[in-house]
Amino acid sequence: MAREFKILLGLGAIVVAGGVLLAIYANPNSPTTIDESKLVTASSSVRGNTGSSVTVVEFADFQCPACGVAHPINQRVYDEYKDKVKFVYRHFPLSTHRNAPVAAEAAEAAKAQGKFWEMHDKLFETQKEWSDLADPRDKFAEYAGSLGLNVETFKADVQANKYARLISQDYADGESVRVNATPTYYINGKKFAGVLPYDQFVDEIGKVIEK
Amino acid sequence: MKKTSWYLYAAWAMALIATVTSLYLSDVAKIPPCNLCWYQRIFMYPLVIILGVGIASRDALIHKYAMPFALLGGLVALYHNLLQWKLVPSVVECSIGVPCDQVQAVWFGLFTIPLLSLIAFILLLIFLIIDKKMYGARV
Repeated sequence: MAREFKILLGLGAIVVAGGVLLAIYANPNSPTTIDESKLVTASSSVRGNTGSSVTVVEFADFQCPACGVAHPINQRVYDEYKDKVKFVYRHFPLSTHRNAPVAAEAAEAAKAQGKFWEMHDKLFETQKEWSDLADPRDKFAEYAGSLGLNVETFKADVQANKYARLISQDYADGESVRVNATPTYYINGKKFAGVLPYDQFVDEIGKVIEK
Repeated sequence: MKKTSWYLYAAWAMALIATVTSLYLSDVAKIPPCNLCWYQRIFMYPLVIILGVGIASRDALIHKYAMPFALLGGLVALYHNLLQWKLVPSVVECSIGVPCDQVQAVWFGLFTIPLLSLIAFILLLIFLIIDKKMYGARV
């Protein structure tokens, strides 16, 4: 065997062995290191079976295209499992999305009037309408009106950034449980980053329900 | 025919270490790669094959094939670092929910993933340039 090939083989074996050892002994993604009390708090938005021992937590950004893609999948899973699973939404507005924080404010302002999930759905379904606006607040007020909210109260809440601290806390909680992409899901503490395909989503929920 | 210099082996090992490390970070540590990370991977991963085959076959043109990959990948890595240091605006849209300007991991208070990538591309270029200058053609 040529000299070069032997050297490449030897070097390659060392590097790959190092990688395997790293994977086995230095995996930082152990679920036991996550503080699960950060996943659901008293101010989190919850729906479904609120007494269920099966919890799906989603950290998402209303302006994130990937979250927009995930939305119909989430909706389908919710419709199928709302009697068996507790679904939780946590805000994680990314710094690259200028309108994401105000969208989160809009959702919380709607929540104050009892329509968080309706506004949540509306924001994801109309993402392309408001994502590139210089100021989407008028558009959000329009949505509030269509949902039957008190628009003046809604506008005042959004204008005052009334829920900024709650949204920041959601973001901090997300960072503490190592959320670094949106959407990120936790199904009974097990992390899934990125859009979760429907089949995989129900499969994972099914495994937890079986336990 | 001249023997292959250790600089070429070092360049190949650098490409392999970068490849293995990036796969460890995304697939084991579950740190999802952003768009810019993917572009850097596109330039780094083929170098394992290009340099490996070039070394094994004592290809005289190995530098011509490898250096464009290292240079272009290094430029992407440089931009990524400037983005994270907030020195340039973002021109890359997040399409997979992973922001390119978000620092996802830091080692020893300094080394971020884009910085490690930049160091890898720079070292690769240095090894290739030294090999070319010191040892020239192989046939």
